[in-house]
Amino acid sequence: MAIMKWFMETTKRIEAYLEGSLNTEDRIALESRAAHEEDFASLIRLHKEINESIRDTELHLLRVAIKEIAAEGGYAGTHAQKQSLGFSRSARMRKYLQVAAAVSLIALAGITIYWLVFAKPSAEKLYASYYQRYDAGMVDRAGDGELSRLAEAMMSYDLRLYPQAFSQFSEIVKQEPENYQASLFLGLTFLELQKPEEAITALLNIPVEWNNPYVVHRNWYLALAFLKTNRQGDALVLLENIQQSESYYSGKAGQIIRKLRK
Amino acid sequence: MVFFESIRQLVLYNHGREEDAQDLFQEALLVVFQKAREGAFVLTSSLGTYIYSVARLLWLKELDKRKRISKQPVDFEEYYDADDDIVATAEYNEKLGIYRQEFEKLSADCRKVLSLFLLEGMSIAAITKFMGYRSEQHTRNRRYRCKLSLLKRIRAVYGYNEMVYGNNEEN
Repeated sequence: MAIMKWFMETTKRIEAYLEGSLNTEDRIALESRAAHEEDFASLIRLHKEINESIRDTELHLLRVAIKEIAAEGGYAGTHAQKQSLGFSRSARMRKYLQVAAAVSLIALAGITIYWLVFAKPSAEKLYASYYQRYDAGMVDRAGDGELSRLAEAMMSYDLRLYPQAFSQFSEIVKQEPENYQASLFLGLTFLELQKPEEAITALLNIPVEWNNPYVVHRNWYLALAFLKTNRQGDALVLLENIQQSESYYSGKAGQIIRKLRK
Repeated sequence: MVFFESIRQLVLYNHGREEDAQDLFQEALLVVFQKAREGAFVLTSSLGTYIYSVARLLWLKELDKRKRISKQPVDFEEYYDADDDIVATAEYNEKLGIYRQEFEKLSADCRKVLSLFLLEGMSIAAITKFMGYRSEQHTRNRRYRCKLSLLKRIRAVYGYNEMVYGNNEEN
């Protein structure tokens, strides 16, 4: 039972790491362990790849389509398949299936190439596809009196009272320009208010080297805001960083990069 | 047959069987797709030549693995020396294919929870509501148990270290 609990805790911790929701102390501890234990580093990689295999429906669907074409008479077919499909009995049938398979495959290749070459979505469309409201419930609201103002503002955000949240976060940022968590939420509030330019200004107020686990969210939402304002070059630079960071958003960043580069 | 026939000939004349040719063809198509998606798809020859070149490189690596050296194989199509990165992409595709195959064997409930979280990007609160679970804690536990179960299945295929991946079952 204790071993099971340990396995469960390890899984939770790795998943939290990949999502970017581990606190700094735990993240450093985990990275340090991975640096010293090859098995543990492999386990993190495995988690990441499994998540990628679940997210990558395009590759999965193509694999299924190719297998179906092969099974339906195929570009060749195994001996057993040929027997079951009557290949040995009918040369005409065999010829027919070969032609059908060829046509299917050419159609598949054509569709794939068309999709890859011409079906380039706009940055605005990508933003709409990938933007999801940040869940403030994930944020630890415990803290001292100074933080309670922030907690109050975050509560407004959580309740979707965006004009009120805007006033509260703006006030905090005005008085404490280095309260980067408030800047992050101010940026998120602007995005909800459909003001991406203002969101960019608020999020750029947070330094890149911000030593906080929420920095992954800052980068992700800043990249999305760039997309929304059609600044694809700026978005690409950030997305490449996110993709390499092995964080929760890495997979999604990779998907957008591929779509932008079509 | 358009793209397949030359690959089939390549395999059959170079120590392979019909089934190898089919697998190789599928693998090559998936690699081409991945490369195209990554933006690394610069078509300087015909699509057939590109697919053949990818398949040829993969087949040479396979022969090497099987200790059947064929440095100068009998060729059936024009080709160019494909990037070695092709092999890494094929290996990655194969791994993802196995993971996905094991994912499909999970219970419908587990597949749904993991998909909602990873594919749809839904929050724990939204998944709890959507699935009709009693609490967010239950959803979290369910998610981790399903992931652990998937790890166990993959471990069985790959033979990973038992100590690392545990012995959980959640279906």
